Amino acid sequence: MDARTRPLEVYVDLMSQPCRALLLFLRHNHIPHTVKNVLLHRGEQKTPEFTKLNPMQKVPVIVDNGFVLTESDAILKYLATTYKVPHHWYPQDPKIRARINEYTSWHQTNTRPHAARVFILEVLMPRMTGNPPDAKKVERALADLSETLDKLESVFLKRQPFLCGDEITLADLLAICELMQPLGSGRDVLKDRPKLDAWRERIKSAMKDTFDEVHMYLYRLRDKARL
Amino acid sequence: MALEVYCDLLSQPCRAIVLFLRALEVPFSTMEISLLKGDNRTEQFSSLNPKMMVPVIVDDGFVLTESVAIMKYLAARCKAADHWYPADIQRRAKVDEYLAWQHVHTRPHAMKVFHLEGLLPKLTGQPVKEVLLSRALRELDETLDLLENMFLKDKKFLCADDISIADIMAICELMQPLGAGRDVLVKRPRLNEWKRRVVDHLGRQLFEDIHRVIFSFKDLQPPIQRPSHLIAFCEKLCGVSS
Repeated sequence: MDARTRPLEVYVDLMSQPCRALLLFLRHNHIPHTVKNVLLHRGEQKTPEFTKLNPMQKVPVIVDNGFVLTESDAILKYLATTYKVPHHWYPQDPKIRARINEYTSWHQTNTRPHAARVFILEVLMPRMTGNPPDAKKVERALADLSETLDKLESVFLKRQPFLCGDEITLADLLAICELMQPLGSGRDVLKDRPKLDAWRERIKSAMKDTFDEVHMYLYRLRDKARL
Repeated sequence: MALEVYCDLLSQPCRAIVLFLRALEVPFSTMEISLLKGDNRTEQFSSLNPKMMVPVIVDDGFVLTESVAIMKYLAARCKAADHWYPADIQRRAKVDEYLAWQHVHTRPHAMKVFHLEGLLPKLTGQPVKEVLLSRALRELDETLDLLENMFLKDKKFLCADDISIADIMAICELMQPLGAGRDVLVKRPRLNEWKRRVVDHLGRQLFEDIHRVIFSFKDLQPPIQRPSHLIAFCEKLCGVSS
């Protein structure tokens, strides 16, 4: 290996949805990388060292031979174009690529906040405050998430097996990791939605063992919650 | 190329797309969708875009929503000069990074200030909710700090020393509070200088023409129509409890 070439460094926390999407992509495509864990529940994203790397104090971050990049959306697209991966992840065709960009945009203000809110209300806030989840707020959050799930079914998955076409793309990875997050309180938001459940199975099938490996900590939380 | 742009110049991302197309001198037809009149909620429009939002483009039958996706698509489709959305992977990644970040920073924070100070009072006839506005201004202030210190730094534009689609998207968002008469960059010389460079590049006449709706918004006399869905959307965004 060239002395100037260092393996890709990825700063992640497996409890973070976009971090899992990144790790799924890296592992599935056998892209060599070094994982640097940044444990959010210990506040490690707030250390002076990490803040110097990312003033936003967020994960994931990658460092590719000195090139620092934040924002999972940008990171996944960068990796898909820099490394040799199958074209279906982020095709060159401008129209298919536009569909992926269309989803990843909408994702930021729909799937991501709405699924995350359920997890925050049912897992993070009780952990921080010692109080049980606020039932009214949870109900409202589930209603927002339900609208998002309706749109996923009726718009993105209307006539195709994956969000942006016939093959799995970066969009599916980002989406599924968000929708898995509420499992942290034992809640499976896709279980009563056969169309979305089937889409999840297709992703799991495409990603094979990597999917469950990356979700290991989340499954542990789920199992504890269901006791 | 038959390009249709469904837009309302009251909307920041719509202005960004129109500005970009005009800068590229690409012919297109504008289909006006008035958010205040609820044109986005008609059966006709929702069959085009079930999400009932603007902007939407139709390029020879290819329908695309989401302004960030549209800007990137147009950069390729219209063979825009490289600096708009660079081919170099790392330079492109920096534009992608800003455009991802702005969804939960520049966009909502500038929009909330305009909604609380400008749009909601005009639509509801209620006074400005001062506590919420103070909070929104603080959030926007933090975002502007990050814009200066994380993105702009000592460069001429947000992602490089040349203008990109990131700059057009950002400037349109930051113009929005002017609809209530508030210039959020007035006390920020570095960002003001950046704004001047962006406007000079796009053309001052064109920039002001596209923003005429915003400049004249504060003078809109009540009663103006009160589309309940728009009010509900604004209130939810701003955390106004019903």
